[in-house]
Order: sequence, then C-alpha cells, then structure tokens
Amino acid sequence: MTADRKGPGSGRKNLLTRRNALIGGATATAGAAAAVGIDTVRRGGLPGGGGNPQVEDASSTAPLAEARVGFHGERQAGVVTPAPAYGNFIAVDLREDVGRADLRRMLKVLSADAADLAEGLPPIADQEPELTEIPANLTVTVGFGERVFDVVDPSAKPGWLKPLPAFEQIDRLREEYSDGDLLLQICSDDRMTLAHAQRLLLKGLRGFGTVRWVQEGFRNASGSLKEGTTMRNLFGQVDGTINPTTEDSSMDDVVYGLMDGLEPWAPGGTSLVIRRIHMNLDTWDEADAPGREDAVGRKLSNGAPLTGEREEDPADLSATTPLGFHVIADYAHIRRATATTPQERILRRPYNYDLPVSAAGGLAGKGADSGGVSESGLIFASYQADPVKQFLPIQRRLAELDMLNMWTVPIGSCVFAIPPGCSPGGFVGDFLFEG
Amino acid sequence: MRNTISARRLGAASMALIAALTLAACGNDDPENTAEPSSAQSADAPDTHSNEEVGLTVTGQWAKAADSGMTAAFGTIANDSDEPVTITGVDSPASEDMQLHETVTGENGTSTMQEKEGGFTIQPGEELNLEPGGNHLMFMDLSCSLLAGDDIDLTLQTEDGHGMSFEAPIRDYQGAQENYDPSAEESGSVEDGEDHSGHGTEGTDHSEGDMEGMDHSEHGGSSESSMDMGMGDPAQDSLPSCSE
Ligand code: HEM
Ligand SMILES: [Cu+2]
Repeated sequence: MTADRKGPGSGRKNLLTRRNALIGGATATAGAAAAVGIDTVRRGGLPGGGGNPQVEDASSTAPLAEARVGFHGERQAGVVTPAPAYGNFIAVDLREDVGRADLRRMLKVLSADAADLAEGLPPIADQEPELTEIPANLTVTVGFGERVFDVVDPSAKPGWLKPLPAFEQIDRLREEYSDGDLLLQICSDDRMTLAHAQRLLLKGLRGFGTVRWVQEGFRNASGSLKEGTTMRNLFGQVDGTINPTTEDSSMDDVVYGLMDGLEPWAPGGTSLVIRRIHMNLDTWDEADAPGREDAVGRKLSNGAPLTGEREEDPADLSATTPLGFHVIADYAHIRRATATTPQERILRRPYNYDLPVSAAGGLAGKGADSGGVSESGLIFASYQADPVKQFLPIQRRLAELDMLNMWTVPIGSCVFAIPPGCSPGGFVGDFLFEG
Repeated sequence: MRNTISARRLGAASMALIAALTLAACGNDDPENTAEPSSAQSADAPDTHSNEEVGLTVTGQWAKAADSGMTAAFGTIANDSDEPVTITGVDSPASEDMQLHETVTGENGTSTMQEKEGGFTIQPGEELNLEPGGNHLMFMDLSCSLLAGDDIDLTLQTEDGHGMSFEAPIRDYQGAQENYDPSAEESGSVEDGEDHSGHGTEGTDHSEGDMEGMDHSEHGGSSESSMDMGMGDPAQDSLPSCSE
C-alpha cells in the first residue's frame, strides 16, 4: 500500500505487526486447541495461551478484524447496511456564530476521518492509531438538522425538516434526548472501535459545537444470531419482520423516494426519525404471554402473526374468531402500524438501550418513564424519504390507539435529513456548497 | 458481500490519498518543471511527477491548527532516489519564519526543541518521520490562522536548490505543545530573528482550559486559541484565516 497514512507514532506499522503476530499465534496453537477441545481452552487456557484473561484465546479466529463497510458512495453507509451490534447516536448543537466556511471545514474533517476509520486506518492526528485497526463493520452516518441548511443553503432545506408535532396522548419528551443541529450515527460490531471512533470524531467537532446528547444502543452480538434471524427487543418480541428490503425495489422506493408519490430531498438522501421509547419492563412483567401476543398481534416464540404459523406468513387482518372478534385485535400494534398507502412505509433499524441503575428496587408503575430495577427501551430509528408523508401517519395512528402504549413512553424525538454519500474527493454535504 | 465492497473502496481511498499530495517542483530553474500544473484537488489524477526531480515523497502530512504564534507540521518524507537528499529549509505562506526542528532531551530530562543544524539528510530508500514530540516543520510566527479542515501549502527546500511543494491538511490537536513558548511570545523575540534554539519546553506551558473545547475565537475550529493561556489581548491574538 502506497497510501498508508502515518499518524503520530506511525500507527500503521504497528498495526501490521500486531496483526501478523495474532495470525501467527492462531496458527501455531490451532492444532493444540483442536486436540484438547474448545471447552478446555475456554475453562483452563492452554500452555502457550498463557491463561491470561487479558489475552485473546488461542481459538479466536477474529472474523471481525477485516470486516469493513466503505464510507464513500452515492448513499451514506449505515442505513441499509446490516445493523452492527452497537449503535451510538450523537446530536451536536452548533455554535451560535458558526458560518458557512466553518461548516465546510467541519464536514471536510468529519468525512475524511470517517472514511479512514471505516477502512481501519488511523485518521490524521489520531493519537491512539492502534484502536482503528479493527473496523468491525464501522459506519459513520451524518445527519443535518435545520441549522445546517439555514447556514449553508436555506433553499435546499426539506419542508419536512422540523420537529414532529407533539403526541399529547403518549409523549413525555425530554430535552436531553430531543432535537439537535447535527447528528452522528456511529455503528460497529466492536464496542472498543466505536468508543475510539466516537471520541476521535467528537474531538474534531469541538471547535464547532457541543455535544447535546448521546444515545447508546445495542443489538445481539455479532455471530450470535443465525443468518436470517430477526432481532428481538427487550420485551422479548421479534422486532423488524415487516421492513423494506434490498432484495427488491422496496428499499429504494421507501427510503430513497424512488417510487411514485415520493421524492428524495436530494438524490441518494433520506431522513432519520429517532424516537427514544422507554419500555416499562415492570408492568410488562404483569402481562402474561397471551396478553403480550394480543397487544402486538404476533407470537412471541417466532414472531408469526396470530393468523399464521411462520414469521414470514402475511398477517390476515380480516380473520375473526368464532365469536366474531378480530384475531389480530383492533388495538394490536401491527394492525395500527400497517401501511394504509403504498408510500406509508418506513425502514426500522432500532437499537435497544439498557441504562445502568443504582439504588434501584421496587416496581415502576404504569405510565412511569423510569424506575424499577432496569431502565430499558428502544432507540427507534426510522428511515424514510419523507417523514411527514411516511412516518407521521403511522405515529399518529399509534398515538391514538395501540395496546403497546400501555408499556411504552416516548421520551425523546428528533428528525434529521440524511444527505447523500460523497465521493473520495468530496465530503458529506459538499453539494450544498456548490451554489 | 461486505468484503467485496471494502476491497473496491480501499482502492478508491488510496487513490484519493495519493491525489491529495501536490508534488510540484518549485524554486528551481528548470523551465519545464515550473510549467507543470500542480492541481491538488483533482481526485483522479495522482500527481507524482516531481519524484524524479526531487526524489522525495511526502505522506501523512498535516499541520496543527493555531490562530497565532507558533505551530508545527508533520508527516513522513521518503527518499525514493538513489542519492542522499538533504532538506535545508521549508517555506509556507502562513509564516515568514519557518524552521526545521528536532526535539532533544536535556540533562534534566525535559525535552526541548531546537533548530536542526545542517537540516535533515535522508539516505536513499529511507524515510524521515516528522511527528509530535520529535522532528517537525516549525511555523515560528503565524501571519494568519491555520484552521482545522483547511489545507496549508508547504515547500521543502533541498540542498541542491530544488523545492517540493505539497498541501498539508490542518487539524485541531491537543498534543505537540512544544509549539508554544510563552517566554518567546512575551518578549516578542520571535519577530526579530534571534536564535530560537532551545525555545520552549515540552508541555510546560499550555492551559488545561482547552479541554473544554469550544474556544472563543472568531473562527470555529481553532481550539488552540492563546486566549486560553491567559496571555495577551484576545482580540489581537486571533489572526484571519490563511485561506481567506
Ligand atoms: C417501544 C416501542 C415499539 C415496540 C416495542 C415495537 C414493536 C413491534 C413489533 C414486535 C412489531 C412486529 C414485528 C415486526 O414487523 O417488526 C412491530 C411492527 C411494526 N412497528 Fe413497532 N414497535 C414500537 C414502536 C413503533 C413505532 C414508534 C412505530 C412507528 C411510528 C412502529 C412501527 C411499526 C411498523 C410499521 C410495524 C410493521 C407493521 C406491519 O406492517 O405489520 N413501531 N413493532
Ligand atoms: Cu519547534
């Protein structure tokens, strides 16, 4: 590689050395590991493995070490990309006096650093360059709030880019989880990688703004779900069955506005709505399985609709019981959330959250948005070409009637425009500076 | 799937990196070379034509943001020729006074930077690392602000009278604090070409105030505002951007 970037301390050289060392170690001990058996390796360690808990097991194959998602392209990574295990969402408030030229510089640095991190290379002036070695599917996705457009190019601001209307029936929104001028979504399968990437990118933003909030989310660990398995949320539900897909045109249609009746705000651009939704696991505990399944309209075991056997069976919303009631109840989440027009669909790519609690005990009551022995919920991330046309009608219906509201409380809300991706010579949002 | 994508992307990224270097021949008397365009921005035309002329390749170059006073630039300079090359000086539009610096450890254990006498000689096939805490290119007295996200032109002068220009991206950076020497700034000695060797001791002077980020300079991004150091008149300290 001619283009190796040398950060302080010539990080890249060290990286290569370390990687070789790891590979070498794995080869040397593989035979021994096979002979003794994995269980032994895990329990006791091996002679040569050292038994040091700080040192990776000899049996580790490090499948994530080389897993990369490129940063550049017509669309930003991190939207249709399979969701890695960890996802952090960070909103930044820009300084009052920030100008157009400042934002240009900011986005240049942000894009250059994100591109390097995605490649597993230390960005310029990275002071811990070794921590970039394992990208583990790292993606950095940038979102613009209204301020960016107001400063850079007001004429390009999408009409829908404003806070969602209040949903009086359900919302208990908190400042510290709502709104913001700039969004960073950073995802990776390695929490170490993510922590370093986040710090590095925020260091680059210091001169331009302050961190408004950070929401940290997780999903199943990489390698623990069998291929094709839908994630579960902390209610134990299979969550994400009905979603647009890249296997047909639905992803392009819904997320990038390529279908009739939708229009992308910029080619390759989309939008992100993040609703932070507290899930009251204490009152959920009071609901037994039939009640839980009734609330959503799907089975807990495999996510099949109550009218079917398998997860992929279409839900039959017209099916009735012998007594004449709908099998999928009138208040069931999936009935209320089902699209009523072809456009009214969204890409859900949520992350779970589970905050540490202290001095916790007892039970959180109905309608409480904190308390109990856990503080959990969903960072409900929804991508669509037009949040007003696509997200809003669904959310309106759910606010009016949805049995899940018994256990869920929206505590944060924000809307961002996701600009198109950029080419290697450019930066995210560069097209807004051309005028 | 992901691997296919990344292999392709890696190629593109490397190209961009190479293209970001401007390797133009400057300050020499070869008319052919002076006529060469030195477009730094074209992402698809890696420009390495001056390699043969000067024999040097610069990679990983960058400069530390600052809105007045001193700062430094870093990178790796490789000698691709089969002759030793000696770098005798460096120029930049951002500072009339530029020096080649080395960092030495004194008897009392403190590291101090000083002008490198005789310049840097790079043997054929070898490279010179310029990095915080080590050798660097020193801007002795900025005439304009280096703002993070901008690029600054630098030209290395070699002993045989050649020059090699390149652009260095500018970044905010909390390290490399040997760049600031309060005594030199207070006495104003920087201006009048005194001997600067031994000016400043690593990490003795800079404030912790910077860690809060968000400095108060007019230009976002230059977090090294010397206001935080509690010296001088703030308004005077923030120079206009070098890119304006
Ligand atoms: C904590 C809050 C929520 C939980 C626990 C939750 C859970 C679920 C579950 C278990 C399903 C069924 C499986 C699936 O298709 O993924 C589902 C479907 C769905 N949810 Fe939610 N959801 C929540 C909030 C929301 C919100 C805020 C929206 C949008 C405003 C939404 C929109 C949808 C949609 C569109 C579907 C698919 C409906 C269909 O066509 O069958 N959900 N959700
Ligand atoms: Cu120096």
